[in-house]
Amino acid sequence: MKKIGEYIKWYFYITTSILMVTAVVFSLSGTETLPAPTLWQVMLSGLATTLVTVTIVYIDCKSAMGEVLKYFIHYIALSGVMVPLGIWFGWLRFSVPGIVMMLVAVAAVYLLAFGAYYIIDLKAAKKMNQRLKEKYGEE
Amino acid sequence: MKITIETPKPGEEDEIILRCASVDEKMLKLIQALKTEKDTLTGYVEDKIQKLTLKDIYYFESVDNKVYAYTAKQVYEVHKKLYEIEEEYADTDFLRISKAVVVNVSKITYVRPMLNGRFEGKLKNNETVIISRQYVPALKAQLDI
Repeated sequence: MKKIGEYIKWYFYITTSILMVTAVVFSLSGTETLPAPTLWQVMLSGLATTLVTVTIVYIDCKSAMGEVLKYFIHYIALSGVMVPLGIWFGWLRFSVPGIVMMLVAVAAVYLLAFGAYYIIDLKAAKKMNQRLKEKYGEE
Repeated sequence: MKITIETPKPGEEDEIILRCASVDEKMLKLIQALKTEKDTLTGYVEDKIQKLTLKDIYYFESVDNKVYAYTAKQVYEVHKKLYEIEEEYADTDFLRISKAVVVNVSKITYVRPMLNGRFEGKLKNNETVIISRQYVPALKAQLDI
């Protein structure tokens, strides 16, 4: 049950980040109105990338190098999912500039989602540290 | 806390009487330790056998099917499985924080998040332990959050 809660949290962080990046891309491209299917496409993209994320990020790596490799593979996997989805949704054309644009967008979503997660964790750590101090401070 | 030791009269049973204004958390732990005699365990280092006091242990770690107890400066092998330690000391400050580590929460100075979603715990002897994401709720519960 806790795991499902965790996955739902990831879904919201990732989907919100995709929505933000989509809004920026649409604004930059001069599109004034968001096509109705876009919201469903964003939610579907969020679901697909959440599944990739929860499959990879919880793998325990023994070394720092392993961790770096894990996140590199994660990014490649996300891009591997988002490029075909982007083409299918009509967000990009199958061309070098189109794929590069999608890789940049995936990186932006990555930073936003992980940034949000990190900020939440910082808050949780602050609370735990406060309690550690109160409970075991004098020991 | 004042400690008084009295010798019982011949034929009388040994007895421990606790006099306190209120039964707080520390007192409960003391009672628990007295009841179960769980405050010590045997550690093995090289050819020596040593009695370890639970409160001196920072954490237990399982490495290659062996379990080690880490004190401030020394590492001892203990002849118990990590899950046995986890179960036996469930009502103490010891808590499972990853597949391979059971930590003494009272020895954690602070925790901080890592970018990979896990937390890092800095211990009072300056060692660090990794807290897996799935064990964070248990740590929060231990800290009454």
